Amino acid sequence: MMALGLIALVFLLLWLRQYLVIVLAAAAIYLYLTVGGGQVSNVILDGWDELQKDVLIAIPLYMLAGQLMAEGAMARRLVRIMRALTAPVPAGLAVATCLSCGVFAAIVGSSSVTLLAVGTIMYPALLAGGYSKSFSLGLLCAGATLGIIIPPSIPLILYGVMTGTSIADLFLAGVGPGLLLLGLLTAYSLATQWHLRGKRWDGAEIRVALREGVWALLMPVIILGGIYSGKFTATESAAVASVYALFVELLVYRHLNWRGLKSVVLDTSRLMGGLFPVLMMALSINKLLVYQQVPQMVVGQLESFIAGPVGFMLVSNALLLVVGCLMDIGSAILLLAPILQPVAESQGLHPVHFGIMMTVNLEIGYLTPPMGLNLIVAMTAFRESFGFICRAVLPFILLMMVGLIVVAFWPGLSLFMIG
Amino acid sequence: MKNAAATWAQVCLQKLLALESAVLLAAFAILIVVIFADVALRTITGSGLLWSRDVGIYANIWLSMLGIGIASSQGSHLRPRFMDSWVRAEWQAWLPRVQELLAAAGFLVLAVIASQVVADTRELGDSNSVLRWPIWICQLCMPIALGFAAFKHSLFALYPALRPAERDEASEAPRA
Repeated sequence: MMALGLIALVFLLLWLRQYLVIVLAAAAIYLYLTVGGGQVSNVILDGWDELQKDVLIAIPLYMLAGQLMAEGAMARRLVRIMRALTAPVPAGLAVATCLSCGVFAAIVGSSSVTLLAVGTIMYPALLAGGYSKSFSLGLLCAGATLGIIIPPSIPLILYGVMTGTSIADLFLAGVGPGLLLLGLLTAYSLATQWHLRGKRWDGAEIRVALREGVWALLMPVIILGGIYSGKFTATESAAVASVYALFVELLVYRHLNWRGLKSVVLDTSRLMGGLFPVLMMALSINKLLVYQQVPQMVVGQLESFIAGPVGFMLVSNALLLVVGCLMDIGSAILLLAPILQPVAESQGLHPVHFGIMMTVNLEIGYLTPPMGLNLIVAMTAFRESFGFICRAVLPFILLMMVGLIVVAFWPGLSLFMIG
Repeated sequence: MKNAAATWAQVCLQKLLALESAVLLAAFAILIVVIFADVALRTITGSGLLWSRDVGIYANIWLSMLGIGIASSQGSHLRPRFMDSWVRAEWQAWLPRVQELLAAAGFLVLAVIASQVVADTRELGDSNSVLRWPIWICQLCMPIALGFAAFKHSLFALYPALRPAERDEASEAPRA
C-alpha cells in the first residue's frame, strides 16, 4: 500500500510537469513519513551529509573546463588538427569528426557540449565535403555521446557517488569501451563513405594546426596523465583542467574576455543548480533505502526471478534502454544505480563493469526518441526536423548496440586496466 | 495596477538573479583557487593546504545551492517530459500556473525543513574540526537558496509571462 501511494504520488507530480527535484523531494518526505519514523528533517540533513563528498567538487570543475573550451578557441583548434592529420584518408572528414569527438570527450565529459562544440564546426564542413545530411547528423549525434564514457565522465562520477564504487577505477574502465565505440564509428564511416577520397597531406597545414593547437592538445594529456600517473585525484585533475583552460583561453589564445568568462561560469552554475539538488534528494532517499535494507530486499526478490548473470544482464539492459528513452542519463543513474548495482553484484558482476555497461547503455538514450537529448540539441542547433534526425541516427544506434553487447559480455574490456 | 505589479516582480527577479550571480562567481573563484593552490603547493613544496578540501566542499555546496536560483531563472531544472503529451489540450492553458505553484510550494517546504536543520545545528554548536567554522553558517545557503527558488516560482505562477522558456540540461539551446 505504501509503495502504491509512492508510485501514485510520483506519477501525479510528473503528470503535473514537476521538476525532478520536487518529485524526489516529495518522494523523500513521503518515505521518511511512512517508513523513516517521521524524521522529515533527515531529507535535508542526509542530503547535506552526502554533499560533503569531495569527489563532487570535480563535477563543476570539469563542467567549467568543458564550457570554457567550447566557448573559447580550444575546440576549434583541436578539430583543425584532426582535419589536417586525416586529410589523405578516404572519408577523412568523417574520421576527423570521430577523433575530434573522442579527444574533446576526453576533456569535457559531457555529450551535449561535445555535440555543440564539434558539431558547429564539422557539420558545415561535412556537408561541403560531399557527405549526406543524414550521415553527418547521425555521426555527430553518435560521436558526441562518447563524451560520457571516455573519462573524465560526469555520469561515471555520479555512478561512483551513488554506489560507492571507486571513481578512479571507473575512469580507467571507461577507456576500453570508449575506444571500442570510437573504433566502431570510425570503421562504419570508412565502410560507408570510402568513395569520398582524401586529398594529399598538406605539411604546412599540419605544422600550423599543430603549432596553434598544441595548447589544446595538451589538455587531455594533463587530465588523463595526471589521474593515471597518480599525480592527481579526479577532483584535483578537474581543478588543474579548469585553471589550464582559463590560462589558455584568457592569456594564450585570448579568445575569451572577462565578460565571456562570467557568462561561462554562470552557465556552469545553472547546470549545477539543475543537477545538485536532484543529486542531494537522490542521495537522501538512497541513504534511507540502505538503512531500511531495501536493496537487500530487492536483491532477494529478484534473485528468484533472474536466471544467472546472463539473464540479469539481458533484463537490466532492456530496462535501461527503455529508461534511457524516457529520462536523461544523470537522473537514470541517480535513481537506478543504487537499486541495480547490488543485484548485479549478487549475480557476480563486478561493480565497475556494471557501471560501465550501465553508462554505455544509457549513452544510447541520447539518440533514442522521445527524450534523446542529442536529437533535441541537434534539432535546435542544426535546424533539422526531429523525425529526420531520428532516422539519421538509426544506423548509429545499431552500431552502439553492438558496442553495448561487446561491453556487457566481455568484462575484460572494461576491467583490463584495473588491478 | 497589474502592469505595475508585474514590473515590480520583474525587477525583483532581476535583482535576485544579480545577487545570486555575484555570490556564485565568488564561490566558484574560491573553489578553483583553493583546490588548485593545494595541488600546486603540494607539487612545489611537498605539502598542501590542509583546509583546502573543506573550503572547497563548502564553496561547492554554496555554488550548487545558489545555482538552483539560476536554473529557476533560466528554466533549466531537470524535468522528465515523457508525460507531457498525456495532458488534454484544453488543460495546457492553466497547467503552467499549477506547475509553478506546486514548484513554489515544494521549494518552500524544503526551505522550511532546511531552516529547521540550520537552527538545530546552531543549537548543537557543531563546528568543522579543521576550519573551526560553525557548521550552521555553511548550511545557511540551503534555506536561502530554496527560499529564493520558492519566491521565484511563486512569481512565475502569478505572472506566467515572466516564466523562462524551458531548456534542456547541459545544452545551450532553448527547447524548440
